[in-house]
Amino acid sequence: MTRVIVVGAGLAGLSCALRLADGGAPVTVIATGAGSLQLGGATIDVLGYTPGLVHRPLEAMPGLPADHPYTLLGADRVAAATRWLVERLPALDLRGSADENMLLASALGAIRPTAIAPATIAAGDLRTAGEVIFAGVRALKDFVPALVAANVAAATTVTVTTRAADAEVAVRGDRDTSPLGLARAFEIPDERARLTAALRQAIGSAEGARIGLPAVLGVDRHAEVAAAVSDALGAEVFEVPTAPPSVAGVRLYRALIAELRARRARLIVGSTVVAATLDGNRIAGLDVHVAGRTRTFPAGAVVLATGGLATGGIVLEPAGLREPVLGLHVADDPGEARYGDGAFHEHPIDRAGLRVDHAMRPLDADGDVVHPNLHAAGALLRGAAPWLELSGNGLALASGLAAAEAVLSEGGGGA
Amino acid sequence: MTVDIRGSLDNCVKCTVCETFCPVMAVTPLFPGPKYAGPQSERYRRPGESVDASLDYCSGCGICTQVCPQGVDIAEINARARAEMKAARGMPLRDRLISRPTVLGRLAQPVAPVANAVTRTRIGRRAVEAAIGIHRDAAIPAFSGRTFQSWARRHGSPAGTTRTVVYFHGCAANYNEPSVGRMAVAVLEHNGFEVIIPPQGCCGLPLQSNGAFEPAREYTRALVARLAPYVRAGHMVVANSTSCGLMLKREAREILGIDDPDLALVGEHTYDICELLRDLLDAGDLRTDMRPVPMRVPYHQPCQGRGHGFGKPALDLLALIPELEVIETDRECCGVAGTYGLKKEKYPIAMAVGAPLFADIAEARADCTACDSETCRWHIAKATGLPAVHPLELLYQAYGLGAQR
Repeated sequence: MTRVIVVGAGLAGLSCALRLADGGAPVTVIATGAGSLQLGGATIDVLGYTPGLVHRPLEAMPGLPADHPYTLLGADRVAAATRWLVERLPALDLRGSADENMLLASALGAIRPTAIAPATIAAGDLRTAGEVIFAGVRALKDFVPALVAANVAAATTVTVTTRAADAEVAVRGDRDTSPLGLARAFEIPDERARLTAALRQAIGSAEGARIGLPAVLGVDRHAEVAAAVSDALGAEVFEVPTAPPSVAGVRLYRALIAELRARRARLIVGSTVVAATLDGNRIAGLDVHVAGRTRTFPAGAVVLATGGLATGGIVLEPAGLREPVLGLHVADDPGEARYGDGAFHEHPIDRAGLRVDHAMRPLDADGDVVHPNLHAAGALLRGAAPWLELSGNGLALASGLAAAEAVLSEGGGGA
Repeated sequence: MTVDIRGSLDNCVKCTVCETFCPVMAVTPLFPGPKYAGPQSERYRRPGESVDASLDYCSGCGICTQVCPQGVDIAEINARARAEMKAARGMPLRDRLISRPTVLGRLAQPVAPVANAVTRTRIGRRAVEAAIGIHRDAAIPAFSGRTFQSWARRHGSPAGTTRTVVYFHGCAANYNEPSVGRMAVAVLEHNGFEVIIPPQGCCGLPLQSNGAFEPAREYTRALVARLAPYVRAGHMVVANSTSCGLMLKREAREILGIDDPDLALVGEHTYDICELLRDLLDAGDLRTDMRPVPMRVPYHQPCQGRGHGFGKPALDLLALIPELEVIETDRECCGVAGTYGLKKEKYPIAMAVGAPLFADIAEARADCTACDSETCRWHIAKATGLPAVHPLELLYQAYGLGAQR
């Protein structure tokens, strides 16, 4: 059977590849880099704002515009995709569903509606009233507990009471402590004891309160570290996803990669796909820049999950928006308006992207399928404004799985 | 083709993905990480000025460049900055020695039994450590009494070959492991190749990774001058050392900055041996008459193997061998990174980097480990107490070629 090639190693690409591998297709993931999961908080934001705060994402979907990717996918496919992820990655202990949003604190104390999160992050759902203590280590300069506590207290959408605690403690000789360095320190028992003692002292009595820490409770030994820290602090502890490097994102990336390896999927990270070799209008292979030359990897089917404008899946050139791998038609290019301002508001360029059919196959300017065995997923798709809607990971997941199902129903690329 | 390595730093958005993969940063605070040492520090560097010695703790594994989503040539920027640093601050005698395998080989080969005897004793290794700073526990290879070249001069490919290939065997096969070279030739001949083995020297990689760019360039140019006429005559080059092959394909251009049409030509026609054999397999042109090799073998692709960007062709080849159970490991690096792990001050880091891999191998209850790169094999074998073989050695066994020779 000819391999299915998934281009891109973000949530859309990796979840698509895993679904394909589960379905028995031989899969190769080829990506320029290791994707962007390490930058995010491992929460699956399905739909957070339309533009008002959304409490029940699936129920809000029928109100979306006709050309929104969720309208194309349908709420049922979105719900199934989120359920799939929760069940497929039991090691991550994901909580929640697309039925309702929890309300989490961001690392700046903003209130974030999200559908699914790892248990230690979901434990910070602020819909539950009571006292919340945000605590951190001063050396970690991107997490300021007083700021988080003040902003959460000022939010009108939640009713918790907050306070802040900052521990003065050196971290493992690091010159510039990052969340990842701190998480690795937490995996060393002696270091953990030192850090938790300092936190305990800074916090004082945590009687009846929840303690929100930056998401640094271990990388590979997360469950063990989280339990030990909760014990040591004598209170329920939850994690707040941090700025990059995001340890929670690293855990999600590693969990997906581990499952892909177990399914014998192949991963080529660091090579860029530059073109396709065609057989009629079918893609027969992808041309990839490797060391020394361009090499063609045979492909029975291709899923393009290279991301949007932010990650190079779509590029902006003087002539307009361009899809750089295959030169696919980018719909909704706003023309000159693409240079307009729009910081903090919807920008005309936000919803530009690839138009696809129900099988996630890109369409040309006339609405015809470009290549019958080419599919697209994730931020490449037109019609959404993920940063405003808080819909990025939900779209990535649902469209990635939809592309995988389409490939599998066509025979797994074996045609 | 010239490559704007330094200019790529403008693409850095400080996303820190490289930091989440750097195997050295994960185990020691002595190295501040690829982002800090690379694009961040590079903005303050001017030619001939070295700003920061922590850069020396980069092992040069290259993972940062591979995982960077923005296309920043982090490892290449760091390698060049290291050369500036060595030029400004000087290079220890040890680094000058271990980066010249052909010199070491020529010195040691005639007196191989004596050299090997000395380096096998605890007292000998302590003396070497005290004298030049090679860690007493680091894996150093034995020298062969007979070079691969001396065997090759008397070897002719059997009749009936249908195609030709030029074999770039590298220093390890020549001076330390001539048996690996002979097995590579046998596997290629078994698949119908006439194997041409021209006289050849070092590719310059160890000098490059130790920051001695000018002598490295001389070695690279000399090697390219040996190989280019064959490529111009239509032959391809095959290498079984992943790192030396990568030097020809990419690093000599991108790190040493050699802008030379012959190098570009040779690089474009150089193949890793597993890459070449997998291409044959894809074309239905690889012999698959294999006998069972009932063993349990973890396969570790060296960091430099990943740098080729072609995936893991060894896995496709090993999957052909009946009764061979291959376990794909998923660790970035074994730690040794060429000569890095030999150094007294870096050996503990190399062992800490490799620890998860060694634990995987121990857990697998394996018969041996398979790995494409020689320095990695020596390091892994020493650390695990199990033999470590090149994947082609398993193919050689499966083809039953040992019995014929």
